[in-house]
Amino acid sequence: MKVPNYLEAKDNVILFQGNTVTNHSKQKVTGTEVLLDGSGTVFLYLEDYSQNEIHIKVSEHSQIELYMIYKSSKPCAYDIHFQVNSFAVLNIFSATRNIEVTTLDIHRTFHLGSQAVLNSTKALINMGTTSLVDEVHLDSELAQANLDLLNIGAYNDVFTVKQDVYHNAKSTLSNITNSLISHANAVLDYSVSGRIFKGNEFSSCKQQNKGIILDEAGVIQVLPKLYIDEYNVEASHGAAIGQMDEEQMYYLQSRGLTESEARSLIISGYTKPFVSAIQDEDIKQMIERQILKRINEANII
Amino acid sequence: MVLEIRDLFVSVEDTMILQGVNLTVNGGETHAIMGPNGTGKSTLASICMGHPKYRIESGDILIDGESILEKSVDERSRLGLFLAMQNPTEVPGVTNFDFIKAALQTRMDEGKHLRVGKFILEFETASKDLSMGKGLAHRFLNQGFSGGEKKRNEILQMKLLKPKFAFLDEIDSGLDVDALRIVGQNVTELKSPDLGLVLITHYQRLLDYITPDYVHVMIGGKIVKTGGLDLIEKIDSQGYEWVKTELGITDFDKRPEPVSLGTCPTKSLK
Repeated sequence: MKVPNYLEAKDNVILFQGNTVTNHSKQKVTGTEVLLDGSGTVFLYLEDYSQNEIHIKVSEHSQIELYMIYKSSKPCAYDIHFQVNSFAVLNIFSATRNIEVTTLDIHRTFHLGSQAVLNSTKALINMGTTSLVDEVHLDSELAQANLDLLNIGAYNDVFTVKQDVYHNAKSTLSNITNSLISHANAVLDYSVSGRIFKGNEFSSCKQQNKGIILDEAGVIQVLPKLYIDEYNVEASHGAAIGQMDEEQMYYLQSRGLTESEARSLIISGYTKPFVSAIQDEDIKQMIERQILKRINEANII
Repeated sequence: MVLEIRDLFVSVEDTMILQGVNLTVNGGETHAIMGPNGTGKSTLASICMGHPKYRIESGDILIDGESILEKSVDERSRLGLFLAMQNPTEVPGVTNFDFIKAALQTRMDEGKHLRVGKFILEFETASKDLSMGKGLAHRFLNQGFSGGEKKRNEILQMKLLKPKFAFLDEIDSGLDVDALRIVGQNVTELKSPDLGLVLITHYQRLLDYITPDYVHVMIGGKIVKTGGLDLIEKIDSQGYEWVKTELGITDFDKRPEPVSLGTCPTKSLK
């Protein structure tokens, strides 16, 4: 298996391919355990990896920018455990790619220590049947998790996504933002929940879900849930799912944009903020190409 | 260069809103349309732009002698029509810069591309003229804008898109005194033989900054009186009652009362 072009010139690449783990980084990798320490950028590439369990630990006070690319040509299942220790910052960007229509199961569990920060940005743009479970445990005070997800589904794709945030300590913060696009029979089924347990006051749990269904047959279903057992907290959720907004279309067309240009611009309003948050230029371009390809393949615009 | 509205009847959801509007706007002219609430002023602007909510029952809208009724909204825009909207729509995720760039690019001949450097300079100049602040280009279209910012952003688009005919629909609402002056000055600077302007307003204050050539009073879905600047002063001091009295207009805003067709047979339980 070869290293993809966009990773060839990178330092700090860890490859999980087939049965093999190859470490081209300065980070410590033992079996399926990765220890991320210090500060810097690390690229973790998973291609049809046969072992489903991976453990990733981020040392105290570390600041890591982690890019995780999942590529699959056959059914794959991953169970990935993250331990983000106290005062550490983990900015994780992950994208799923596949060249064949297949099934992909990803279960990610995050445990955050005191004042640890997790910023997760995830692009689900692959074909086939995908299941994603994100379980975030804010275990100590001032732990903070921000989850941003972009999901584009087309051609009978099925995405089942479950996001659970557990506020296990006082003054913990979580924020989930999901941007969903469904076209050509794609089904995007989301269950998003936040739990603040008794005694964990001054916590904040927020969710925002927005979805656009581009044809009659597409489905987006979001179940936002909040389980709050403490008074002195902030919690909010919202889901705005619908078809292309007619007033937005009219406004853009009233400035001369054709119907397809207006549709394209509105869709870019979903994808562009997400893409612009990606720091690495090569990964950003790769994701941009993939989004454009997926959108064009599906004749969305 | 002429925009003609001929005997236009327009309805929405089976209610007739415009009832025979006639208006001719030549390049270089500024027309003000005033009138009480609900008389169809905004409908007139929207129907010219091609809003799908409204239905034309009869009449015609022509640019330089050619009917535009069969043209789509975007085609009308590219023909040179512009509508500064009363409530500009928010489009999250789309930056002001990308939007206006796309709107300019779509006006160019096939194969030609917008000179981005020149566009950036023009955007920044227009933004500065309207006191819009530096971050405007990267803000999402109308999202989180104050009422006044939205209105100024409409004028910014107008400056950059350079339309032939522009409707400004209550562009003065939501503007404070300073913002009104800035908008007024910018619109006045745009006046030229290549621009026909239609100002829709309730108040004289906008017309203190943008001097119209013609003032029209619209009541009951049609233009009932046309005059000059003296008409504005009279409306501002006396309202519209005198117009109705003078022209013998009664119950102009009264909707048809429901009519009973009799009583349906009913069955009562004993």
